[in-house]
Amino acid sequence: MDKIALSEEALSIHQKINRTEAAYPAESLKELFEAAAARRPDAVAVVHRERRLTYRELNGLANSLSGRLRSAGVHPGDVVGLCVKRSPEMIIAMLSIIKCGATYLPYDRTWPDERLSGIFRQAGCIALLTDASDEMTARFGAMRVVPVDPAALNADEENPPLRVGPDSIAYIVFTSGSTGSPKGVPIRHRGVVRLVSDACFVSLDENAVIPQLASIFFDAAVFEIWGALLNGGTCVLYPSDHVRLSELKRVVRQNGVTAVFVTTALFNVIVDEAPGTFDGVRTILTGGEAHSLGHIERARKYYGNDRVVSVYGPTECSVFATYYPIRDSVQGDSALPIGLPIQNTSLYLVRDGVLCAPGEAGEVCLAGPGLSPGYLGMRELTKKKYVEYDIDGEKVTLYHTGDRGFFREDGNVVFQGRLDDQVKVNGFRIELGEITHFMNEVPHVKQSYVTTSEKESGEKVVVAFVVPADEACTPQACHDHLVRKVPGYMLPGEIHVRESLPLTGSGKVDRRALLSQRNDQEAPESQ
Amino acid sequence: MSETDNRMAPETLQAWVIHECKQLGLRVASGEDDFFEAGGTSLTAVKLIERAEREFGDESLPADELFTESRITEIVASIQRNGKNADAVAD
Repeated sequence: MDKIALSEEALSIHQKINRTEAAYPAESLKELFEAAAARRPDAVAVVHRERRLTYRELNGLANSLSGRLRSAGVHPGDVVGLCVKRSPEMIIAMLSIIKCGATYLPYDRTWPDERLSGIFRQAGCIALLTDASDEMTARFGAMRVVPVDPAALNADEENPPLRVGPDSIAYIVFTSGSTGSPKGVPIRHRGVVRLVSDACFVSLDENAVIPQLASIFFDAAVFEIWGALLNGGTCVLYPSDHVRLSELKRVVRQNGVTAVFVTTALFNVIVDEAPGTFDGVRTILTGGEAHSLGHIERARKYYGNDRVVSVYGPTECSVFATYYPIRDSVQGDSALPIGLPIQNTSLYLVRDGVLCAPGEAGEVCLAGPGLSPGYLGMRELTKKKYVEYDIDGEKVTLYHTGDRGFFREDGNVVFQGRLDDQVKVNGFRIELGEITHFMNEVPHVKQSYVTTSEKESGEKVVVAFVVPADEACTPQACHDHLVRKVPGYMLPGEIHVRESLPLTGSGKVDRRALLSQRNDQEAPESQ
Repeated sequence: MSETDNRMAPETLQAWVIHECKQLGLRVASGEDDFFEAGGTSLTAVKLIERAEREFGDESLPADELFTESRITEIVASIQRNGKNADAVAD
């Protein structure tokens, strides 16, 4: 085991920021949800349009569906794919998988067949629980498909007679991987419970009313759903597929929303267009990408101090790992810090095996019960990213995030970019290497370079440059290939064909030169 | 009432849509241009919908329509179908 070298100063700042231990129940989502249902049977658990489900009703329906799953052969420890559109049935289905002691694997039906088959195989998925059973049967004939049919469910008061350990896997989220295979990140019950118990970044109790906006394959949904349901609060399902600010405002007002999470990109739109959307919300959580100080400052002026909280965290550490409440003006700061670790989470800054002192930049490493046990079926990568160290005589497993940061004097961590080519576009985490991998597979492509840039509207976009192998190399041909390989959010917004890729003096692709030419000519769009 | 009719006239409405799209950083010049081909994304869509609703009332530009019929002329038609007159907007 490697020993991390440290100075007094470095040790002292780490000790100061990592005093985050707080008591949290050593129980699974199943036991905690069932306890909430027993404690508050008549409280509203889920709201969707005009429909309201009490804890008793929700628990009863989830018991009923979990009985069906068990009859279909789902056992504790099995992995079940989950594809249900945002509705009370989505929550019932998620709970029913958890109630079997199984693991849910959320996915989106728009993802290509090939990618989904790969994901199911990697995760060892044994069944799909879905409200689109005909489509799923047609697409994945070999899989057992269990339909979610609300008419066939009745209220079953009896909870399944099994206990689920806090270290079993609650869910698996797949994120982009640079080699062309997405990475499966399994998350333990403990990781979620630690996120929503005694939370320091938002008040979560039985009065919590939280809207559910995120897609379920995006781990912010874990916070939105379990943050409400494990605390006896209310989860309000956003009624439409696309966010409309006037509708969001109505959802917030009609339900008395207390806390909300929005991606950085949507947060900026709300601050720009209609900050009144979140009038009355006590805590506005936002994260996913680096924040603009201008938007944060305008939001602070509008909402007041201590209402907006920036949150940061890779999927590998169960949703959120750090928080930074906006308590004061950020004018004059150089960047918004990602802040301090949340409860039961530790953060270390490490450079070349040495712990950083204030002012020194290093890699953000995370530790604590939120850590995933490692990537599914990727032992080498797991060994590289999850490393056990000796820190001041203590054994600690650190997850290497690949993010760079430094400590301010007050201990808050400031994000300084990536150590690799991972990017965030509209809150989605993308390894550019994965897009390059698939781009280079296109038979007509000799070489490609994928990067991100900003549109004139200020939004980030994936931009691909391809060098043709023959005349059939068109943006459309590249697009058509990628559509079959990657989810929509990974598709380049622009594909440009170039005779060659310009190089810098050091022989690397000259990104700046490529991007600067891109607007000179009429840009061929990818679709 | 005449002001309402005027604002909902196709030419006036098209000028408004093009103006807003340009403000959102999109390269549009004519009614034949497509919102998404001109660089529109789901976030730009949120902005345009919000602006349309402020101007022409709630649900004046339904997202489902914008995502399926995204030419400027189609956006204009959608607002014409779904937009409310000034009296309704005023409440």
